[in-house]
Amino acid sequence: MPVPILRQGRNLIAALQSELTDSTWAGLAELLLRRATEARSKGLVVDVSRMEVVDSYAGRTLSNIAKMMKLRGVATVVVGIQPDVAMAMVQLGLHLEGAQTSLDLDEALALLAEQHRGGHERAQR
Amino acid sequence: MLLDITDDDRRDFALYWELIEKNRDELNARTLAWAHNTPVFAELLKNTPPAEMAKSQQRSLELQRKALLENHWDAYLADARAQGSAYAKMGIDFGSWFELLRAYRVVLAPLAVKHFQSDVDKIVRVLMANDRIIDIAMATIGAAYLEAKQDIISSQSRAIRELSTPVLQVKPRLLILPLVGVIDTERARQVTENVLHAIRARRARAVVIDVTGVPIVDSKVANHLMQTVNAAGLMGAAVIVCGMSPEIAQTLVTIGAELRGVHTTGDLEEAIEEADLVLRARTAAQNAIGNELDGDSQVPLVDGGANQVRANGGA
Repeated sequence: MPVPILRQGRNLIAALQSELTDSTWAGLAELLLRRATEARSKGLVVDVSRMEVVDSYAGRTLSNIAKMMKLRGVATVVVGIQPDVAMAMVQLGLHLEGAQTSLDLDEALALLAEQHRGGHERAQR
Repeated sequence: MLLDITDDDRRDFALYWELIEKNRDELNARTLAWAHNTPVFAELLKNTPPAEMAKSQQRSLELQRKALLENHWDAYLADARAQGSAYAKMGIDFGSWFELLRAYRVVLAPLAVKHFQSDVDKIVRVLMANDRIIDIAMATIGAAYLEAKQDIISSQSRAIRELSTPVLQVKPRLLILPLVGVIDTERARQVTENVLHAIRARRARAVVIDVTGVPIVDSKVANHLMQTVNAAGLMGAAVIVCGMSPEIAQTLVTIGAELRGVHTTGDLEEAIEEADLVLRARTAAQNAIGNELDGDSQVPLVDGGANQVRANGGA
């Protein structure tokens, strides 16, 4: 099942479903990078609130996507990690290195807007 | 097994029954007299109306008769279990029950000698039957007693756990969690769970954990704190830990648990000020572990992109 990817201003929003197949995970980075390039995105929000399990493979993939995005100047925010999932991830030692995290979509968009504005101000100086 | 009753046993039980049938009144009177002289039981007897006492005695005699003469133990054992848990709930010391049994034995032995006219074989068999019956009853009563006590303990510790980990909201998006008392693994897990669910339910962006009331912070507790902070970070909330006493600070560094990546302040006041900064700056999400550096490196990247545009424009 394809991952729905929405464009919102200069951000992309990807909502991950509860059960992604390995092949979807494997193609996810390429898909998101391509869409981010086409849309000239500055931010990527990955919504994982539907996911009941984030294993080490998923965690590493998310972290890698964030690092790849950063190389293209895109900030990645992972949102909606459930309490139990957060606890399990910490016990597995998964920290989503490279990605920022936020409670929900509202928070993430506010965060990205802030960072975007900050970048502009610095560029104009 | 205690309840493997052979035909020999049943013959002994019949002898025993014969003895106590004949001497019921004397046995009762003497045991009661003893009970009246023992504070715990005197209290119990005082609060029980004589009519009710007679009825319950009648009932337990009938149960004993069924068990001993007809080998129907189920009702007798169920009654023993009920008694056991009743004593536990009334707070009667288990040891005093053995004192009552001892009094009964002391009364029974001379009666047996008198009744069986120095027929040693019968006397020994009756006394052994009595021991056997007491063993069966006490094994059952004891198990029920312990079970009831265990129930009381676990319900109390559940209550303590629930009472002792409140999550307070001091203002929108800011939660405070005052920890009081010793933190064991089970409670630490509970605390973490409470914090994470509260973050979600109240959309917290900052959480202050106050450990002023925690007497001992060892490597285990430190590890749990780290996990809570990291998990909260994954959910987009910043955690500030405050109230580590000088002694605890020294201990933690000495054992090598430095709480790396955890934001700590000296007292609650400072922690709330820090949390205010977090709320105002909207940077909660950047405080997730490992993101401090990433947040910084983002600036040159954005700038780099902007410079690129300008350079291209200039050329």
